[in-house]
Formats: sequence, C-alpha cells, structure tokens
Amino acid sequence: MNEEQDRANGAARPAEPALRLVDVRRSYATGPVVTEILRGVRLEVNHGDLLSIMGPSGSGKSTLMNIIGLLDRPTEGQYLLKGAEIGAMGDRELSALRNASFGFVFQSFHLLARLRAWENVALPLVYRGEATAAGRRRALEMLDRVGMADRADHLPGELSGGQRQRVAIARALVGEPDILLADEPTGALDAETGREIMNLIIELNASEGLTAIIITHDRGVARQCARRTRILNGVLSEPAAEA
Amino acid sequence: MIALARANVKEAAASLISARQRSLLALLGIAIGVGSVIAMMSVGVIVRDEGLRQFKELGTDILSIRIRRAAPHLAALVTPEDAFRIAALPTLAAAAPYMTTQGRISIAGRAAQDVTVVGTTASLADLDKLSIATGRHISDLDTRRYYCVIGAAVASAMREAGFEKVVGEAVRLDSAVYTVVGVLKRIPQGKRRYDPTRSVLIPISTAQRVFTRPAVRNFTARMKPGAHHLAATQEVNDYFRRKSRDLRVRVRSAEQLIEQMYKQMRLFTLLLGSLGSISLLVGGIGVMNVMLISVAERRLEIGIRRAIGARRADIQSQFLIESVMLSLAGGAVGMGAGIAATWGICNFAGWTFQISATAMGLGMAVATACGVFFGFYPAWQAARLDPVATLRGT
Repeated sequence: MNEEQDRANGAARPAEPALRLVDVRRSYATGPVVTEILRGVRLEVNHGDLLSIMGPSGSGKSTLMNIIGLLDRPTEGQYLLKGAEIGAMGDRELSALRNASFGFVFQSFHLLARLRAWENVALPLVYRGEATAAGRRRALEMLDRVGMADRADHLPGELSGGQRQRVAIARALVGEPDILLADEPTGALDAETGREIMNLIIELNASEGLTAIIITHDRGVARQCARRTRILNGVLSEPAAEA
Repeated sequence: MIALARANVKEAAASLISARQRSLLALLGIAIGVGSVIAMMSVGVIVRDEGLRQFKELGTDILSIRIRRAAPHLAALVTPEDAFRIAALPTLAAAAPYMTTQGRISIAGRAAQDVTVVGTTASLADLDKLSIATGRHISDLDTRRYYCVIGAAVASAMREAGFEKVVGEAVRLDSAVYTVVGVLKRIPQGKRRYDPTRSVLIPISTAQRVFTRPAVRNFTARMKPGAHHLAATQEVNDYFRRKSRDLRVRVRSAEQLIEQMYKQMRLFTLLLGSLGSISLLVGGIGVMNVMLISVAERRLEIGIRRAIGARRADIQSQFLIESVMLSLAGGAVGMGAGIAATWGICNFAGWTFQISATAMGLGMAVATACGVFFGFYPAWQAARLDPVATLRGT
C-alpha cells in the first residue's frame, strides 16, 4: 500500500530505499590475474528516482547494472533489495525477484525474433505463471501505453529500431517492476528516435513515479536524468545533488 | 504454469521447424528405433496369441506323426492298423491314420473342383476336431465302401450345382463314384496337413485301393493326460524303429510347434532389439546434437529469458520439452514404421497380423525417454549458462 502511494507521489522518498549497495566489489579471475571491475560501489536508489550512471566503456557500468539486475553477484559487499540481502539467495529466489523487481531495456532491444510484439511483452508474465489470456490483455495495454498498440501482432523483424525499443520498454514494464534498468537504451537509435525513447522514460517517471536507472555514455541522455552519477575505473561518484 | 508450458511447446515447435534438416535426421534414427521396438513387442504378442490359438485349435495333447518317404518295402511296413498299436503305447490315448492325395471331384458331370482326398478312419474326426454339419462321419464299418464325407466348400459347390440335399447324392472323385454320407462344418485349416473345407474324406481301406501310392504316412495321436510330449515322441520313435531301423519318423506336438515359433520369435526379437537399440542410440545422439546446436544458437535468447525472470529450471524444461517433442515426432513416424515392419514379419512367418496397443504405448514411452535422456545434457548446459556472458554475446 505504502509503496503504491510512494510511487504515485513520485518525488516523495520513503525511509527504505528501493535498493542499496554497500561497498560492492566485483572482480574476475582470469588464471592468476584478478581484474577488479568494481571497487567498492556505494549507491542508494530511492523509489521514484530517475538515475543515470555515466561512464566510458570499460568503466564497469555494465557490471554494475548486471549486479543491480541480479544477473551477477558481488564478489564482496552487500546488496540490499527492498531491505533484503540477496547474498544468500538461490537461483529460484533471485529469478523470482528479478522477474518481480526489474524491467530490463537493452541497447540492442533483445526481443525474441520468433515471437510477436505482444508475445514478447507478455513473456515476463509467462514466467510468473500468469494465464495466457490475462497476459495478452496486459501486454496489449502496455503496448498501448508506449504507443505500439497497432503493432502488437508484428514480429520484431518487421519493426523499426525505435518501435522495437518501445516494445522492449513495454516488456520491461508489463510486470510492474520496482525499477526499470536501461543499458544504453538510445545507443542503437538515431538521435531523434533516441530522444523519443528518453522522453517516454522521463514521462513514465514523472507521471507514474517509475524508478529508472539508465546506463549511458551519452552526456545528453545523462543530463535528462534528475540524479546523475559517474563511474570511472570501478568507482561510482555522485556530484552534489541539485536542489 | 500452463501458460508457460504452452509457450514452451509452441517455441519448441517453431525452433525445430526452423532447423528442419537437422531435426529430420535426428528424427529418422528415433523413428527406426521406435519402429523396431514396436515391431519387436508386436511380434511377441502375436506369437503368444498364435501359440494360444494353436493350443486351442489342436489341443496341447495332440501329436502329429509323419513317416518320411521311404523305399516301397519300408513303406509297406506301415499300415492303418499301426494306429491301434500306437494308441496302446503307455503315454498315448488314441491314434488315427490318414493318407492324402490331390483329386478332382465332379458333381453331376460338371462343376469340377480340386480337392484333397483324405483316406482315414472314424477316430480322425475326434482327434482332428472335425465336426459334422449334416449326415454322419466315416465309420469303421465302411471298409472298402465308396462313401465319402465332404468339406463345406465342396458341399456349397454341390448346392450351387442344384443339389438340394447333399447327403445321399453321388459324386465322381477321379475315376470312382462315391456316395456322400456327411458334410463337415466350416473350420479353418490351422496346422492340419489338409484344408477340411476343401477335402473329401473316404475310408482308409478304400483309399489304399484307389490311391496310386498306397502307403500310410500320417497318424494323428492324442497323449494321455499328464504325459510329456517328449516322452510320447520317444515312444513313437521307438515303436517305428522296432519295425525297421531305416524308417524315419517325424513327430511334432503343439508344444513343439509353439517352441519352434518362439525360436523364430527370439530371432526376430534379437534382430529388432539390436537394430532398435543401435538406432535409438544413433537417433539419441542426433537429438543431443540438434539440441546442443540449438542451445549454442540461442545463447542470447537464453540470456534474455533469464533477465526477464526465467529460472534455471525454466530454461532446462524449455529445452527438454524441445528434445522430447523432437523424439516424439520420431516416435510418431516410428509407429508407422513399426506397424509396417510387423505386417511384413507376419506375412513372412505366416502369422495373423495384429497391432498391440501396449507396443504402441511402449514405443512412445521409449521415444519420450530418449528425448529426456539425450536432451538432458544440452538442457542442463543451457540452464547453467551465465546470463551476463550470454547477454554480452560471449
């Protein structure tokens, strides 16, 4: 109940952050060489945040996103999602949590080529065990919200880049996740279409209090986000928040 | 979960169809394997039924005795009266001699028909389970009389030729005229040496006069209850050996016939079993190959699904469903192949063709098991892929 209200209020910040990273480190061992990608990241994301993580390639931003999105685990440090420590969770729990808490948007859309637009959108609901008819109804609603209602029966191959990314956003949001995780969402789009996609995310953030984390190397995209962070050599920094 | 299962099945079908050639090759092996299993099982069931039928038809206690063709002085040693002495052997209860030849019967000077002429005694009727439809059987009092009992088909021919009542009419058999005294019921030939429907039975004493070869070469005997067929066979052999060491006798019992059939079945079983297991192995490896390629080609898809919330178990079952579906498609083709093979074997061995539901069920079960077994490793591999690596495209 509380959460719903918070989301409706948008900017309001409840005591419990949506997620909290405490001194998160991630290193990879390639033979004897250990490469540290993340070197003690601290981050709190609150409900309703529109946060950008900007950094050059190789800075560790994708690794950070994978850890936030529960696709990867920290080597060290704590990750609390809605107050719960994820360190001890198994695949079952993590998958369910990933399904319920996150909506992913990728640079290259990552729609399943054999599925129609609405089937792609309904996929998170399928893994939740929702019935096909209900899933279809919600997928169509979601497609309508991103302005793709008339393309519901198209295959991804029949859609333009911008249209595909809209379908991907619909898929990310259909399960009403707590956080939208977007990895270079405009990276594969032309400037105009990229702006449209960003506007869509900003609008969803403003009107529905959608929490969104956008990873980008594009200054223009980062500038559109209320909260901006930078990552460099595995260290995350947040310039003093504006008023 | 139903929605997930349905989505998985749909996905699997689409994936298999998109890799048509690969799928077909894997499917072929499974089809041959399942076909062999089905044929193997069916042949087993058919032989069992065939055995039961033979027991029922002839009884388990009947011996068929045949003297091998021999020089005239040896052949002359065997007479119809030997039946009485055979019947008196310790393990035997009854015996009837009979001799057969091919003849041509003509009814009222036309409607000629080829028949088997069987010269025998009254006791054959009981031993060979020949029932009378109308009239009476050959009697031991008919010695050297030109009386005959005709098969159902011969009687039909007579009726067609305009005879209202068949019994009492005269028919010409080769050069002699016989009076019909009885008509046999219509029964299948079974394992008899003659087809009762197309036969004419005459007194054996008459037969000895009219047949070009007057030797008695066949006896049908019944064992006493509880007698073992091997013991009885031994006694019969000994009996004829006492007449002459050069008389060759072949004694067969229903049990022996069935044993022989089982031997034949074991041969088919061995053949089909080895063919089946090799094909299933080859097909299974084919399935595994198709699935491994499918997993490799769909790494990104696996990553996407994992990101969306698919558990490892969901990925695993998705690929297992795919491999089971591939195997089941092979199984369906194999059912057709199995039915065809069974039919061919029955034709070859002279058995009555039938389809066994158990065999079909087992065939499909084998296909499913094959899909699960050979699909398990690829599915497991798919499930444990690192989603980060698959999404990064490495």
